[in-house]
Amino acid sequence: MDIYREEILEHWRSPQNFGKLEDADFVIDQINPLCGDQVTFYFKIKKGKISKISFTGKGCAISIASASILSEAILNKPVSALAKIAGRDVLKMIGGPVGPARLKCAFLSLEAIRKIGSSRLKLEQ
Amino acid sequence: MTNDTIRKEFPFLHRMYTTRNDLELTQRGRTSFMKKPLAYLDNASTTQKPQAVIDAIVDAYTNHYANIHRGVYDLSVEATDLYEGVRAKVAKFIGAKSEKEVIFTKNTTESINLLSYCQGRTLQSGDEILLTQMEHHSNIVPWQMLNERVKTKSIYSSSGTEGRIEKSFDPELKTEEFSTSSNNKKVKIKYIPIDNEGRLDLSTLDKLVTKRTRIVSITLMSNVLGTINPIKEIVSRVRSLGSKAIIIVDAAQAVGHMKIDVSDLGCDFLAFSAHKMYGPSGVGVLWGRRELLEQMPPFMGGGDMILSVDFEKTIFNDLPWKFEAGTPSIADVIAFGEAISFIEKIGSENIRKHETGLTRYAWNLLKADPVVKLYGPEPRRGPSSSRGAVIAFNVDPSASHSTLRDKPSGSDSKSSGQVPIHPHDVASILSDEGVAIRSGHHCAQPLMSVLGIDPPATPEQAQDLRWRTGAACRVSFGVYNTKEDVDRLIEGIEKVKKVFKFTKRSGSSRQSSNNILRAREASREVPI
Repeated sequence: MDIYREEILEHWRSPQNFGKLEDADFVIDQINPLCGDQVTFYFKIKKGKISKISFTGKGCAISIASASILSEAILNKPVSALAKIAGRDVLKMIGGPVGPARLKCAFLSLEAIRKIGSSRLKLEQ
Repeated sequence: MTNDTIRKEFPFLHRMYTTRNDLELTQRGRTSFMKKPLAYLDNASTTQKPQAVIDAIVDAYTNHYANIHRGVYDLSVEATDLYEGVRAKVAKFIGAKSEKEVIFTKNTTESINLLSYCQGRTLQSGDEILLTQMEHHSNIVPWQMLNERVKTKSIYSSSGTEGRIEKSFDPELKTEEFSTSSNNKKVKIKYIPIDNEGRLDLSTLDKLVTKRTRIVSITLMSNVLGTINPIKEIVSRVRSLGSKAIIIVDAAQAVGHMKIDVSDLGCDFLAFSAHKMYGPSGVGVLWGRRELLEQMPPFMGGGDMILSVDFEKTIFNDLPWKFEAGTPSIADVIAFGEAISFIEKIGSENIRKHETGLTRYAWNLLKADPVVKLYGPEPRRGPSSSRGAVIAFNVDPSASHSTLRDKPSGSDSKSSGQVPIHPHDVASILSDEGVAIRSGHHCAQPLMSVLGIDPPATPEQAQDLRWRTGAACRVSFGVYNTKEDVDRLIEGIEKVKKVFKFTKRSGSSRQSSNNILRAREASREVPI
């Protein structure tokens, strides 16, 4: 699979924005029941913009790398922009098609961050 | 029958795949290359179908199709005879006393659900169900769901205490969502633990089996570990403890791979699926002791399961039709008969021998690779090996001293060394090589947790979670598999290591291929 390029492997080995955000305003969980992959996104919002972002989770190289790349892409972007990110945008970001069987891996994080675009889930302490 | 003759009967092997390796060679100027058939190593999930089974479906729809048990016209009688003929064939195949003990369902899952409804109805608050840690979700979830149906009256009985959740094992933790209303949990589910090798720890039976144990439901063969459980011994131990519990065997993984004789096993019920034994999907079997089946209320209501119906009440049909409401998958059941003939033609013992040989061959090659972590019991020689043709593993450098190549751009120590490759990534790369393996939790998440593959997450673990794959790779063999399929698997794993840049500097790749070569040499004399 061509998807396993060096950039992807690098994001998988050393994901950006990985870890918990203690002062997060919003926390969103997403699970892929197919394989048990799981991702949690932490958001800090300031004036309608994502001022801080982080994620934790477990998963394959494709799901971790797309979480990492997506987290970089949406930092400092307005919350309203999240709902506009489409699947093909994510595929573009991670550099090409993944087989149909792996789309769920690639889109796990997108599904997570879309939740904040549509509904605001307040962090439960 | 030789392996070659058997392979000729499977049309899926006629479809040729261009592997990634071949494509790369083409790009480098080589124009001709061998296309290969699929190395199908996901037989525990479902098996491919021989031409005879496919033809039988076509023949049934073409020449013998009408509804069964209904019409008085010849075609209906013909279809009924063919359908009922397969019931008799199944009865003989599993050593049942009578074909009336054989009920056709949709699959193993439906067979177990049927029991959880019909047997489960007799359970009361405080009763216990004994399962094992290695069960498939289909032998866990129906019993957990049964809790929602158990009569509630005794919860608020004289003691005044509500039914409690008895957490005897992690699956309970994992089903928090399901059991949110669980302060009225009534039936206690216990699990026989597994030992380090992946066998049941039967020393726990004395404690686990109590007067309240009403149902014992155990897999004959684990779909992850490959462990074949000593059902006969378990039955006699449970009985010697004075328990009258109903003993159910999930034979989904065992059937088609080894001889099954219900009179020898001594169990009360046995469930399996046709599609895992070269038969059509959509056909399952529930075998049960006649007296128990007769006592049980019907499962679903509808046509064919009745003797007479008026507006107030129904008199149910006799066995086995009492449990077969509605029009079944007629053509598929008829074709299932061909699958049984196919297995009988080769012989269960020969199938077992072939698959045991392949399992040992694959195990030894995988074991020779220092970055492959294996789960389940070591295969032993001979037919007495209490292990089936299923091997679960992970490509996990932390299992050895081998390392990933250090990255120039400030990788931390963790990421430079101990990173397991997620099974989905392994399976994707293998797929490009024309090798089909399964990756995931194999519908056995509680077992994954016991194996340490997917431990319950705590906030403290969050930082490390990304290195827990939560899943495993699995290969499983069938009659048509060959040593070459295994060799292609091993080559594919080498490709995985190449893609994920396992260092050559540390010698792990070369070292492992040397080990593999040695293992392959050593096993050359093993006849398959």
